[in-house]
Amino acid sequence: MDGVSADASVVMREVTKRHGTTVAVDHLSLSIRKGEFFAILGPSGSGKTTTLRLLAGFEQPDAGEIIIEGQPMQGVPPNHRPVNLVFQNYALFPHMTVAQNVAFGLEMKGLPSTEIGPRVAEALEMVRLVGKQDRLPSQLSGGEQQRVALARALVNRPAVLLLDEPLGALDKQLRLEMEVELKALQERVGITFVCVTHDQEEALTMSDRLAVMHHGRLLQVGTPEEIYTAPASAFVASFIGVSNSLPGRVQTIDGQRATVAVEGIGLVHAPVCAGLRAGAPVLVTIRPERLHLSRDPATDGSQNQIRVRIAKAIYSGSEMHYLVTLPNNLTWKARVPNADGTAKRFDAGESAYLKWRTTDAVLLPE
Amino acid sequence: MKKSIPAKSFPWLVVPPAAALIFLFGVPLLLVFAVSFATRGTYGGIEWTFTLANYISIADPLYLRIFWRSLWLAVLTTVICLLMGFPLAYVIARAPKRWQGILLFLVIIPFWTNFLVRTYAWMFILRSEGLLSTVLSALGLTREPLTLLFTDTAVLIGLVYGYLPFMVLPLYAALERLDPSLIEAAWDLYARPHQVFVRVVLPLSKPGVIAGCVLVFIPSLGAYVTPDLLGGARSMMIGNLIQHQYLVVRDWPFGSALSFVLMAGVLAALLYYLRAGGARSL
Repeated sequence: MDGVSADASVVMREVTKRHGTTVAVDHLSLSIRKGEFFAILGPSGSGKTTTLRLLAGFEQPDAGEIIIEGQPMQGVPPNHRPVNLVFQNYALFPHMTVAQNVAFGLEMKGLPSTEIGPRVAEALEMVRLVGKQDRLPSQLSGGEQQRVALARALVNRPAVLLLDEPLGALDKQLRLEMEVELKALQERVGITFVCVTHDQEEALTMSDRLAVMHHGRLLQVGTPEEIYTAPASAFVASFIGVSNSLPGRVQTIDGQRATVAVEGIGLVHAPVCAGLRAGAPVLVTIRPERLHLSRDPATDGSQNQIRVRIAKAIYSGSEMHYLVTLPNNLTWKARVPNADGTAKRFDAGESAYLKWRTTDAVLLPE
Repeated sequence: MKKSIPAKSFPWLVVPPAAALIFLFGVPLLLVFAVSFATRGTYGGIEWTFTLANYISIADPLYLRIFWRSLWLAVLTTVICLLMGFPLAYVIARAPKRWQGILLFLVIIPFWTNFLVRTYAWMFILRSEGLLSTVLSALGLTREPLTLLFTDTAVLIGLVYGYLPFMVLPLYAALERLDPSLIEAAWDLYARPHQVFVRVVLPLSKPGVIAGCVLVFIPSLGAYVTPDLLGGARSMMIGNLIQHQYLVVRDWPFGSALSFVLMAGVLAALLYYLRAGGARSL
């Protein structure tokens, strides 16, 4: 990982945290830039929540170092850190009104009440809760409670805002709206956001950069596009979205193009990946939306093609979702846009040619 | 959606407890009330001549002092139980789940032994040649034997000992429901530990505090066994006075009047306390 750059907001160096005998966070090194929306993505138990709690100060690392805004955080309790956390269940104080909840941090900081009033009003306006300031949290909808939690944290103007599964408790429609709203809010306030989530779509939509965690380790850090188009491992590829894969063995490497022998199918071409050598076992992965289906075989050699049988055809509005069976009995998923109404759709049981451009495949060392 | 059986479907289930309450509690209470307006007979019987004299004689400074001492001891007992019970309940509520059961079990273990026996045990501990005095002088902490037994302090110790579990249990119930992330949220929002307690933990455990205080205050005010054994004649409480009037002086009308004044006092204190507590809840 790179050294401490001047624009780093959060730096973690070789941070390790154990819970009993399990290693929750394992030698994690990470640098988060000022003003970026950074997502930490991982399945439950991957250590992402522990990472967030280490940043908030609720837990202390067993080894390693955490630096926030240039200050080492060793032994600094949560109430003295320049960060605020938006809790997964919001953790709004049930005995206080919306305004009292939002004012809490400023009161504890000892700001004069003449300053607290306007700042609370400003924060409530920012999250569109004007007029609800005298309600109790229990009188608000889930989405409104979420916005109170955001306002309660942002009103303190922290250097870093930590969000623990911020949209997890909302229904799908509201979640999609809030993804956009949260991103817009982050750009407006310019505060570093560190958001923990298990939802890859959420992470890809909102973040400037994201980290994928698994078993306490950091697997890959990059922009959503980098992670999506060039996953560094089979786990990242499968976790970041449904990905089709074929296990094979590298036969020849010709410049930027590798030829992989796949049992039961034949030869498949793909761009080379780092450290690839002939004879090595690899996984050829290809995303469902990069696949094409056709009734006629391809004539040009820049494409891979496999003859498949359509196992299932599912209409889902803008796209068709096909499950296709490969000659080696693997099942792949293909997503074909329904843009052209005249194009004939395939029905289950039909045979078809499955094609994809060589450059759309990603090789992963196994 | 929770399904519950409407209470209306089984009206006859209410009959036995209602009957028990009416005949075993309501009727005797009315009898005591009636007796409190009667006159004491020459040889201790009851003469049904209406009089308010029983109530008027309570105003005697001798009796007022006993009322005052009872009230003071009950308030002190409640406060000490609250101060001791809160940290205890908090630790139990925050302990790992499998420990909570064991710790709660330890809190209620004293109930397995008769209260009278346990109070006698305290007499052995507190008397001048007793356990406490012996240990303290052996350690060189006191030179003279302690004279704790038969003082207000002994009564206070006995009351706190006896009623502490009644404070711990409702406090535990309230604190166990407290979402730990609220404490973390307050901490994250710059609150120092004492501010977390005053602004978040205390207000949210108020139902437990109210219940615990009521459960300790009422039996402390009317305590009989503890002041009788540990306080002796010098540290009499209302309970002892009432017993004295009924069984020693054989002035049943006056004893009844004392009982009713005690009851009215408890009721008034309770209403005031709940009203004040309720007003502060928001």
